[in-house]
Amino acid sequence: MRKLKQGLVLLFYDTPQVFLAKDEVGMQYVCMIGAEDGEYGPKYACTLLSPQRTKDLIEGKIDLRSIYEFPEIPEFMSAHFIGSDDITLEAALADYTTFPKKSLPETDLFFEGFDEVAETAVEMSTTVSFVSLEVPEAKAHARIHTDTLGEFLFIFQSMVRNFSRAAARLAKKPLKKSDDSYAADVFGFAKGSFTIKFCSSHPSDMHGEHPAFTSAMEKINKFLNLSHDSKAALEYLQSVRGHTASSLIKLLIFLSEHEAAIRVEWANPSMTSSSRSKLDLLEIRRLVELCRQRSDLVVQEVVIRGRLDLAAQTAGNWKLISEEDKEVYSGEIAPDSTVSLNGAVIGDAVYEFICEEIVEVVKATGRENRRLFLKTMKKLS
Amino acid sequence: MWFEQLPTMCPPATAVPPAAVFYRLTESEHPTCEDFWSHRKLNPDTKYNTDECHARAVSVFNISNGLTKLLKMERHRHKAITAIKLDKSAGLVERNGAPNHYSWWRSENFPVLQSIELTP
Repeated sequence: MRKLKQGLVLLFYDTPQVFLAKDEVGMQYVCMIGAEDGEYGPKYACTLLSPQRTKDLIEGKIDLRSIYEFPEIPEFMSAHFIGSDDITLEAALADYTTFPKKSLPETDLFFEGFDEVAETAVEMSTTVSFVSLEVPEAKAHARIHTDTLGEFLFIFQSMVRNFSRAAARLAKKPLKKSDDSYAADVFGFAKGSFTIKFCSSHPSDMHGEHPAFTSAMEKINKFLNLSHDSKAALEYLQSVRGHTASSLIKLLIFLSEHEAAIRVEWANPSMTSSSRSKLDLLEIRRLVELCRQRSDLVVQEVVIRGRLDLAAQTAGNWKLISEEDKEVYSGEIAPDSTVSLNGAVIGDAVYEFICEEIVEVVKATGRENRRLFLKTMKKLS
Repeated sequence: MWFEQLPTMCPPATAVPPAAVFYRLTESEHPTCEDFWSHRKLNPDTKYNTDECHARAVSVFNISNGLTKLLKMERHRHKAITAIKLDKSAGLVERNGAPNHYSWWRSENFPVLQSIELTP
């Protein structure tokens, strides 16, 4: 006896007619309802499927009859639902190794149009995102250079972080430096260009969603969908500006340098279908050229209100403890600024510092260094 | 009010009154009332892998093509596609699963056999 768990239902009519199932060690099966019910209700004939055959079946590349007529392993199970969780089946090895001809489905029973991303979100009960990179080395096989993959993962995480931080700032609830609620995990790779499967690193809320990750994915897809129109894409970058714009531009430059088109699909468990976007190489290169002429897009203005902990006019250094998040911010006086720290009061007064923040990426490690340049300051109290 | 006794909170809030022709497989070209019974009514003691609310609904499609895949299977090969006109007196329907698939909870007094359309 084996225990199977029902997965994706391919055909439903009063009760599941054809569905995918997995056993206790993760082997994949397809199960088809039989002509007659047994003592326990409908009886299903199940047979093993390789990952490639599973993909072919749900993408309509192979019909159901071929699966049963020419099984990859000549072994069939007879199964029925048991238990109270609605998805567990008990399966016993059938006494035949060739599927009975009279029970074969007719030819051309194809399944298609299944949304793997939305199904995965439901299965994992969290927000998921599948990103496909059409890099040249993935043309024939699911492969990617390690450097390319490493760089992309860093850019992706950086985009999610910047969108999450921007959304939190807008909601007047800035994320603390130690807050990594936006962090994503890779939980798989798949064939089809080179597809990376992401989910949030943190547990979902009661609706199976992860707000920071979901919000970032919404905005990334919005940008990619707008990017078919250069004017709209630039307007969007202008609206988000700063680090968020910078990370999107970095993504475009990365894709252009690696000659890779991109396709992004994401879903959370409450969505009936996944949200999709894609951008081809020509569009990417056109946008990169336009972005190169707009250095103003990546300038991030940061306003900090707090008490001075250090003010060194000659060295041009300062430290400010934020009244809002209690974090210590340090920086330099901007080279083109006329601001003076002479006479600034340490500790007892509250100041508003308006700074330009520049993010420098250390190429070898991928680490981001943030530098603050003080442009103007005023004493608040 | 309902043709079958339904659990509480059933039909679900997402169900709506129908106003269209729907299609269902029947045992022959001459449908009987039983062709429109739910699995639960036909088999009160059987275990189905669906909640009790949906076990008391019947599947219908809003296009006849939705049923052609089923006719390719041994279980349904001998069946006929029957068209039935459902209006608000028929009960409630909920779209779920496949794009053209609906679960139908039938109201008690709906004249099912009189509502069958002759040409599917």
